[in-house]
Amino acid sequence: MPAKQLLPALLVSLFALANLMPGASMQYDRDAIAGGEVWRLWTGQLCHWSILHLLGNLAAVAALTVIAGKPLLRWLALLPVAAPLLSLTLLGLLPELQRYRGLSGFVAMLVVGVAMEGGMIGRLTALGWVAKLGFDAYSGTPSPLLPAGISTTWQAHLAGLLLGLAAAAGFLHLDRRTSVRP
Amino acid sequence: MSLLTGCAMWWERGNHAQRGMVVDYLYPKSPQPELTPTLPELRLPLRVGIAFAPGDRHTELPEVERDRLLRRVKDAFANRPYISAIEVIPTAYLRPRGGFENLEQAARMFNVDVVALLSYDQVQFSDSNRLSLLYWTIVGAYVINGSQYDVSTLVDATVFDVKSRNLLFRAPGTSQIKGSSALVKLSEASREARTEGYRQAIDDMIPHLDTQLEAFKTRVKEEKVVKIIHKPGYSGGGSTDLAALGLLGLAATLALTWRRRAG
Repeated sequence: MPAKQLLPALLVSLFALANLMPGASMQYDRDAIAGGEVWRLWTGQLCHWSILHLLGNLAAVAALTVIAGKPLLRWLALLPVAAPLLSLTLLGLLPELQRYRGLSGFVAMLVVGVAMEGGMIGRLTALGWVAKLGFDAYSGTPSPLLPAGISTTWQAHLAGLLLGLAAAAGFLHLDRRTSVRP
Repeated sequence: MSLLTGCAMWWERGNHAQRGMVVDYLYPKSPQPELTPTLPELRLPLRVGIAFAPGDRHTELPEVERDRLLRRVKDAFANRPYISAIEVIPTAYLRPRGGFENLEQAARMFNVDVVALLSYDQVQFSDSNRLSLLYWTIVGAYVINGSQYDVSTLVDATVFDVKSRNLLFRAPGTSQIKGSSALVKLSEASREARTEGYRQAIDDMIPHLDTQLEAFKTRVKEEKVVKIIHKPGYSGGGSTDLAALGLLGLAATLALTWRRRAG
């Protein structure tokens, strides 16, 4: 199966697994990952604290897909690769974060995709989203979609944004090579 | 606050009661303590202690049974993501009329930030009924249930932030048990009824405590009644909030409109 089909299929399977299995065994858990439960590097970025949390993130992905259209599919296909990178970033940069669930690191990555593929509206959306990220980091305002006691991990959004920029650089390089090829 | 109880006990002929005021435990010198208004800081995830308020005298509820009752409450709240641990504090560690100084000592010993104090107020009325009289004169006390009892129990959980000494929220639980027994077994039967009264009151209290906890969480979010601080080991979520969703929704609508116009 070519990578173009394999990666989306993998994403859908992982997403279903992460959200249908008990969250406690799927979430990013620093101690459990250190104990060898490496699947959490993937599933932690896909499982959610509540249905409301899940719906909020899915709505964001749907809106981004509408803004950028079909070109965003190659970004979506990158998500199974980006998941462990996001989790490893959290492991390295946030030693105080014990447990984490949520897709919004991906959403941040897709925002870069929207800036690249979504024309003027996409770029303006990304600009607004980055401003909102700055506000969240400054104010520490919790998301109403998260259960009480769970803080919004804006650092995951920043990590997703940086991963998105790296992916954008990679796609630009690939696009140039494809267009130069005779 | 009048419902907050510590415990004391008295015996009367046919009646039995244990009651008191938690104010006696926490504010032994001043019946109407003056509280300095401070904004409590809760460091999540919380370590919570749970204990029965100590009484002035020895009470008949054994420590094993107290421990069992406290663990029922612990089990009901153990899996909350914002609670890292719930420690059962034996009553022996709390001194009658010990005040917040004693509570702070126990909190340090068990390494907890918040303590839920369970107060109780139990009254039992016992009486002989007509059958018992009939029985005394003809057959004897063993055959017919001749005495009846009525046990009313109130359990009240009051949750305090130890550092700021603020009452965060409270929740009551009640039970009423009526029964009858042969006179010679009345003592044993009524003791069992009293223990069962505590169990039922605790079971009644747990959903109320859950409701009050949810109401407190809403007040934290909307009225900022406490300051939330995250300490190592906190739980995080990657969530798109309503403002971001609004922005994305607006942009998606614009993109769709623009595409339709462009053909």
